[in-house]
Amino acid sequence: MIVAVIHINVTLADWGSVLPELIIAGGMLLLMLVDVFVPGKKVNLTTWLTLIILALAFAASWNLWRTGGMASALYGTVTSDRFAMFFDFSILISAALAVLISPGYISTSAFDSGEYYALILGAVLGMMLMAAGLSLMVLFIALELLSLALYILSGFERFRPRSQEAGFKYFLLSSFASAFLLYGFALLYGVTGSTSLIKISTCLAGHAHGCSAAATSSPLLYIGIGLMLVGFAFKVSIVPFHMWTPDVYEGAPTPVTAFMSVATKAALFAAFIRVFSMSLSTVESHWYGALWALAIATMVVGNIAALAQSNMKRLLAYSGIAHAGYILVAMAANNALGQSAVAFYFLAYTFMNIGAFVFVAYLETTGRAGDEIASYRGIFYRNPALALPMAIFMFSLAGFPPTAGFFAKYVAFQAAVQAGHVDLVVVGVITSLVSVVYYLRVVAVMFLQPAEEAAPVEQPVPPEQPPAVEQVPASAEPVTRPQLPWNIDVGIWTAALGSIVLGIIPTGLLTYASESVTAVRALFGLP
Amino acid sequence: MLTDYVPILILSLLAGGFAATNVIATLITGPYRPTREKLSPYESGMTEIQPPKQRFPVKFYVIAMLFLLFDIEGVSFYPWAIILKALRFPGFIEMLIFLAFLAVGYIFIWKKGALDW
Amino acid sequence: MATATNALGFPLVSIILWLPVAAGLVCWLINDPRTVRMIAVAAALIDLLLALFLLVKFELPGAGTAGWTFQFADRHAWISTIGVSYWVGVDGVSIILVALASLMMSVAILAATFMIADRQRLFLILMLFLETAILGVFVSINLFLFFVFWEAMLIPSYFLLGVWGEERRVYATMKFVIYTVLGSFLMLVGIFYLWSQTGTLDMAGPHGLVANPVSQGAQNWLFLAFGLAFAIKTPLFPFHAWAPTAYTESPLPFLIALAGILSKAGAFGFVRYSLPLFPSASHSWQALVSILAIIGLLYAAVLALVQTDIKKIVAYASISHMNLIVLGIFTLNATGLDGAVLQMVNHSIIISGLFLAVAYIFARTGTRFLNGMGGLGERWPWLMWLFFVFVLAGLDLPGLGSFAGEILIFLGVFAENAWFAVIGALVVILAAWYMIRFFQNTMNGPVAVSADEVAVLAEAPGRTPYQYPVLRRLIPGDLLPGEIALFVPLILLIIYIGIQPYTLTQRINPTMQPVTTLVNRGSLPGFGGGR
Repeated sequence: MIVAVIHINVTLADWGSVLPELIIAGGMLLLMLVDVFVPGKKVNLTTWLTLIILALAFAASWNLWRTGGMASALYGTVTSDRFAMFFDFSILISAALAVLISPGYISTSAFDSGEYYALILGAVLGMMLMAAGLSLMVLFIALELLSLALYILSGFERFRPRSQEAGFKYFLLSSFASAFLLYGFALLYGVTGSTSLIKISTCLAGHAHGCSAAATSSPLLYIGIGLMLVGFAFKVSIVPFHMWTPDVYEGAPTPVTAFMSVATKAALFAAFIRVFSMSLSTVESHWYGALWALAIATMVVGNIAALAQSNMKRLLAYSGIAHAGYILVAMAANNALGQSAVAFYFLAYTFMNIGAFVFVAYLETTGRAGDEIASYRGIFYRNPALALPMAIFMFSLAGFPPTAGFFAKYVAFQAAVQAGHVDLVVVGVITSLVSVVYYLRVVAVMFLQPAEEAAPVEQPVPPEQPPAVEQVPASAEPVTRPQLPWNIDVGIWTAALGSIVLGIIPTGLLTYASESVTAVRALFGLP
Repeated sequence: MLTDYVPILILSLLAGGFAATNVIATLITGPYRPTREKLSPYESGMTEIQPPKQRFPVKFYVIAMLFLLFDIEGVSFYPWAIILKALRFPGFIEMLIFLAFLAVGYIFIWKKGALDW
Repeated sequence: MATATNALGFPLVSIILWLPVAAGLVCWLINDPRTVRMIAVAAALIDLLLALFLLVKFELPGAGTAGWTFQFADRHAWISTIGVSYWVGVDGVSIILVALASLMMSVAILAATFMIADRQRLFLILMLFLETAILGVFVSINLFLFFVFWEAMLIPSYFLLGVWGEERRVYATMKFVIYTVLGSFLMLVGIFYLWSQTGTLDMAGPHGLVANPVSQGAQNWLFLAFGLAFAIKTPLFPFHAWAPTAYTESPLPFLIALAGILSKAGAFGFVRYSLPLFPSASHSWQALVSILAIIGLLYAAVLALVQTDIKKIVAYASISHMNLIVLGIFTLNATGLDGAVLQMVNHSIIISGLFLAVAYIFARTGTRFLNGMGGLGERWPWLMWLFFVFVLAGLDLPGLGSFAGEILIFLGVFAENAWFAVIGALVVILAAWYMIRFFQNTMNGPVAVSADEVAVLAEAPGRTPYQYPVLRRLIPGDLLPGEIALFVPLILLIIYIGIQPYTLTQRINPTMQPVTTLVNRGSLPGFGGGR
């Protein structure tokens, strides 16, 4: 009998570099156990538990960021470089914000909270692995993990047909896209003889032994790149593979939509960059044209379709498509600035987009107004504490300074100009102009059109006194101001603060983003 | 480059051709004399007791799915067992962790009532 | 090359810049309306005092100092990877505009304390935010910083116009925002391109944008990208369509900021950015812009002549005069530019005064239409006489501020193209015509509405003295002390500038001289990058 000789060189440091992922995985199991063993209602317990787990994972990621992490761990299948950690921050923050706003939703829709949170953590695990994967195999497994969890989460409101439809549609279309991606991976493996992204890049650069000299011009490579592009484009909802997005975003429970609209894209874009901008950077000419066309189509279609929406969640879905277009512009720049722009964009996008969904989620649970934009009429006059942050998110999404959205877009476009793609930037700026119309329409509905019942309070002024300073009635504002639940308050103001602070003092985080890109570029031997 | 794939193309043509030839040949050469019994679902001379279009309880699918899940996970024990000596103690620990995952899943579905028939 | 110094030793410009926003944030935390009013007014007045201090301390170029200098500069690294720094300071033009802006914002905030009843606290906070944004536009020496403030002006404006505006405010707001954003987004493309060519967005310094002009072909396109933004804001004909609606629907305190200061930001953009950064393009486009400006100033004046809504008369008067300022800028000689900047100050004061008068009349008659007025002067002499001062200033009476500015502009235009001057000067006749018509139809002539009718109107419920949907009653008598107090600084300033325009021009001219040299020769002799 032959006993294979295996050199095990997995050390504790290897496991340490996936510590955040391990924490999430352990937390997921813990939540499942809590779900079945703790009797009675346990929404508060599970919510807190999930938040603690996410915080622990954040701390572990931060520690890895501080130490710089390991360039390649567990036989070169995953990495804990700063690039992965930077995306982990976005993913974890968006998960935490989504969890924070879930309790109200869980109690109104009678969810099973333990399962729900376990699935969210499952998706987070998949996303973090996606951002950290250095091997095609890990990327695919991570993709399946996050997708499966999200399929179930989208259809989690079992008794609402819209939610069922969302879950089913997402499942069918997305698994179809997974197949494309897998096929692309297989062909890439066929051409280069390796599943390791680093080895693939050395092979294509022509420095590797045992790798076909004609690999870069192989038609299989073209087909593989095309298939992978389709797969990635599906998952991050890039036109023309975006059709599922509005329906799924509208039907899925709002906290889930909030979470997936940001975190899925962040994770997928991290992998997108690792595969295309890093591993396949030597064959940029193979994919740049396609990316260019996709970026333009995405910006144009996303923004124009958003103009016609009357449902807030659908509007945010199309706005998400449009933002994916801007991110593609930064990615198409294919330089260090562009990649750090993508990383920074997601951090900014986390705050502004999830903030907008917090607003929708709260209104849905109170039952006063749903996700129809028309029902937001005059909300500022009833509930200014809710309307003001929403205005910040809308201005940020539209890209007005001094908000995070402006800065993210600015850096993204500037990177494209630096790379000489002025055409993309011109389209981006013009479509941004279109986007101002629909974002500000929402603000106009909330602020400029008073609700019918909010008539000014009649308060006669004594005729003998001049209208001097003292005459202004103090009670011009409505006396009974609805109090927000603390979790919505925390969620929406965290997001608002993030959207503003990132716009005014982006320096530190932008430096972090470029450090993270330096790390990943060094890993692939790019300058 | 592409010429490397010519044998595969020839092989698939041959395979497809063989299958098609057989099907067509039986259609042409075989005698075709249908009777009522021959056309019934169980063509073994037995008459059906009740119509075969029945609904299976969904539990059946759930159990089948769970069986597949645990079965496939169980399969991964075999390669592990063969190289256990080389993996030594850390390998043992890793498998225990893997088992713990399975166990939690098992407890979960059990408690959720997925195994109640 | 433009240089930057700071003789003061501490960042006074930054303090002036950020004080309003800080005060606004403090107001956010306070709920008591009286305290909020006090803080807002105090912040505006302190800012005004500091700005005046700066104006006095501003070093006039002696024998040793020449060229284009930014004084009291304050620079911090911000995001160096993309050529962005926090760099503020003032030159001879922006120091005057900073002082002007802080004065007009003080007037506007004081007006808001009694003209805005509904959600006054939020109104004041937004006005303070707006003040910082406007000041930021004037003091930035980095193009990115300038753009941030330029766009940031829009957000408070959106709410100030949209929430507190009059009946058609939603329409006016959307039109205003879309026009403005259209311009500024194209400017953004221009900024990207400039950065990709030069690698910096700093204006001054040996590596700054002024010292390193881009190629002539690029200049032509960049001029268009920047010029559109400035033209819309100014508003230059034919990009003015947003202005009449926005002016008509604005609540008065915001209108002082909008017509008084925000429009100057557009003209300032031409002076500070279009001319020095794209000198050869400025020459190529000079004739076109001048012709547009002449059409605009005559067209708006004719429209002012036929309006029956008094707020619209002043709105078109404002547009007409802004086009005159653009005409002065595009003389591209120092005389015209001096006049244009001087006229920016005059225009701001006069237009604000006229709009205030419109609001006072409305608060007493309950109407803005000429057919409901007439003979008001008999009833309210104080209102008539103070209003008359602004009317006289509006028709360029010698001895008042606007005369000096307009004379300089027309002298400058005459030096460039005599025909332009002759045609443009027709506006003086038109201005006199519509101003006199405005004054006579409101203050003189037969009494259209008797005192009894006014009393009846005053009793009618659901009307507002100033702010649109909350008129509770009309103001019965002549001008109140608070209302007069808003007029006084404006009138004093009109007279002072009329007598002593040199105070302003001696600061403006040393900045305009190097700019015109730059524009006319392509580079500054003796100030080139190699020195």
